Amino acid sequence: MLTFLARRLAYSLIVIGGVLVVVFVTTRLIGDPARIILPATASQADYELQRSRMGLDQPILAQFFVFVAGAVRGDFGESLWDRGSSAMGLVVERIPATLQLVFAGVGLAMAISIPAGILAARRPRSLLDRVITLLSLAGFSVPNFLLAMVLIIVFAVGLGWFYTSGFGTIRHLVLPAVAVALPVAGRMTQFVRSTMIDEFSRPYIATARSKGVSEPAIAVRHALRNAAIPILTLGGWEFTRQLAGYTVAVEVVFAWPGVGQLASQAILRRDFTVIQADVFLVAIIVLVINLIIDLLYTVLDPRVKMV
Amino acid sequence: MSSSTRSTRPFLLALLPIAGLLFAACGSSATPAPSGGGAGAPAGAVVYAVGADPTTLDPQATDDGNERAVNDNIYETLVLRNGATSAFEPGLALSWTLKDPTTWTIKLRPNVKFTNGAAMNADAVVYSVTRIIDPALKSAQFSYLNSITGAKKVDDLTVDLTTDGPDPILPAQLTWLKVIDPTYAKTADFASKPVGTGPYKFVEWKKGQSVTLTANTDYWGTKPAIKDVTIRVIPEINTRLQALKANELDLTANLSPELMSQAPATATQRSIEMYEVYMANTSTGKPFADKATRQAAQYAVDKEGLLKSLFAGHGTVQQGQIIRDDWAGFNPNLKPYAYDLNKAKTLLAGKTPSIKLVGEAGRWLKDKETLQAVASMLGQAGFKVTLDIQEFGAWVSTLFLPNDQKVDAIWASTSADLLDGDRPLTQTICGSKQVDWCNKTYTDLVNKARVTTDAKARQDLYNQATALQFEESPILYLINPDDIYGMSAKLVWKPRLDGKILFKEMSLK
Repeated sequence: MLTFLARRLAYSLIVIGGVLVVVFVTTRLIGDPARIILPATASQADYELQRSRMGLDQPILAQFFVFVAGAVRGDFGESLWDRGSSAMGLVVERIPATLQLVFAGVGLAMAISIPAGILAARRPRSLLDRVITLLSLAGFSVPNFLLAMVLIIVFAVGLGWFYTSGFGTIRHLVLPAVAVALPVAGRMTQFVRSTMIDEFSRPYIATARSKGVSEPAIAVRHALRNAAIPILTLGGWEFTRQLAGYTVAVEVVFAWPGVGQLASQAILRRDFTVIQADVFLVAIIVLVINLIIDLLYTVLDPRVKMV
Repeated sequence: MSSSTRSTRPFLLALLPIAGLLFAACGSSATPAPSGGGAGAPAGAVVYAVGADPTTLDPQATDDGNERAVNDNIYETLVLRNGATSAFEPGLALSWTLKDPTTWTIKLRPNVKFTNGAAMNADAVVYSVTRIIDPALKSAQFSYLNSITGAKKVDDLTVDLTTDGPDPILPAQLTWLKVIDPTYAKTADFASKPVGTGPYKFVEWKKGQSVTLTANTDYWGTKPAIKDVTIRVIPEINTRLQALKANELDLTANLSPELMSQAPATATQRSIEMYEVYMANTSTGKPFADKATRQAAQYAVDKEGLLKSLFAGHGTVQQGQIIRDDWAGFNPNLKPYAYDLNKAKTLLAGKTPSIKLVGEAGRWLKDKETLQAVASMLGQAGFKVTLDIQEFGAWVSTLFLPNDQKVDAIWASTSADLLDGDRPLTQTICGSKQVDWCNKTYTDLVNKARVTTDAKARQDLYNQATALQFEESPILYLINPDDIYGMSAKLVWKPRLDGKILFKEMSLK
């Protein structure tokens, strides 16, 4: 167990090092923040002064060492636009909103896909199975920003049930959570269905049936229990995937004040320090979640050993 | 049987969250009007949506329209502009007069207080000036104020401002300079909880969501009609439009012409954006080296057609200069180059110059579409145009390439935030970065005008400079698009020529 943790931590450090290099290089490829903060008509002298004020007149290697030295302490410097605010602080205060959206969205997706997948798997090629499969294909084929707009037009403007955008109450949360959930639910329903079909064809199911165990009990207590590990793996993957950037479009469309919205703004403003802090923090969260999922395997399946 | 009912429970449990969501939806739809988002809010409240969170609420630190949307209503400047004519009006200053060529005397309005009770006086003004010009503040507004060298208190209501040379633009610069309370500005709250002398007081800033303001009942000027103001952050223009339709909003800016018919109400005003194409490379052997070719480009472009087809007519053709008619420096004698394809062809005299035209997409309303139309119109006159639409960051770098690497032509929009011709005209002086065109006479005229404090003499210089630029044509003059605002049916408001959103100028039906 300890060797497993040590190996995973060492592996995580390598990943974080790679993330730091990539994010440093890519932010410097997307343009010059000094030009963007100044009016297009500013003089060359104004521009050079602005560059030095942003610390961008330093040699690139010097900038990189300052960046790495700060990063190991979790200090990414000040926002280039909001002098005086720590870049990491700006990101951290947006994390709860994104977590709320991702938990609600992926939670809703699991609440839809597990029962739907089981129902479809119980009678493959039945009418119910075909309907569920069709809906799930539609779910993961629709781009989430388009789905988001349709949800706003129908349920906020047309029916007036929810707010078009914003944050704070359940009526703000529902539409963005559905926009995150439907594509995820589409993928997961397909996965639950095929995993459950596999389980239903195994000998222990036949044994259980011969003993007279009811069909729902077979599905939930026996088959679902065994299918739990792959389903959990996929669920975790969906969760980290949403956190790592798939909610950006949803956050922007619904004006959700999470890290996705912050990141998209920071990219438009070429606010290097905020982009770097954002990517770094999200990378850490993803690594931690993956570690937790690995540890959960041992709980779900005693045969899994951490070595 | 009993075992079967028990084991269906997990199914039902799994369905609970969905049922909960449906319940929440139905339950709240029964309530008459939502309040959190602002719709159906009590009378006297206005919700304005901007595209991004303010980067800071320090009024002197950055150059950010979202920050100004808030602080233009909390802080005040020494000089104001009339929203309909752009003429100067007294703000916190009652008068500003030239004492000697490099000193302006400012007389302050008496009995004005910040909302924390501190007095607005000469000390506050001196501090406000000293702070913003201090390099340590790293203010991004310095390019608007870089001629100011200092401020000195004469008496409690008089301040002398000094400039690095005679500066006719100083009153325009003072429309940018917000006056702050010296004591409060040194506290940690200053950048997040603004305190000014203006018609509105700060209430709350929810990062990434909204800033709320309330009317300042002790305001020295005309009291605002609307009590509560919320400035919401909604990045996506389509969402803003839907929020407007759902009565969650009263106002949003930067609507595109196609979306106007969907908004409950709209208003338009001329923007400060001047769309243009720099004929940037005029060196020998290059297509735009001779004046006739540059003028041919002017005649080839149907400016009226651009406005009609892309902007639904919401804009104005530039009057042969990148200066709007309410800005200092506007030359009333110039008329736009007519759209005359035959004249363009005559000027080209059978030549088919191959030009590379660079632009960007997404920063300005219909920027890419405008450029594509211009490219195709140039093509009809005989130019062979290679159009290169670049990502914004790359485009900015291309715009400022050194002279020996300049592309033939590059699209840009000049935004003259000071509503003054100096900045637009300075773009084409010798040594400017935008064009390699260098005309000594023109450069002398522009440089002389910027140190001529007599308004009439300065205007004479600008009339000569703009006429020369028009004739020589280093810039392909295009259009001045309108700002388009989407409004709720109940909002009464007329947009301003300087683009400021002042809630004190709004009322509700």
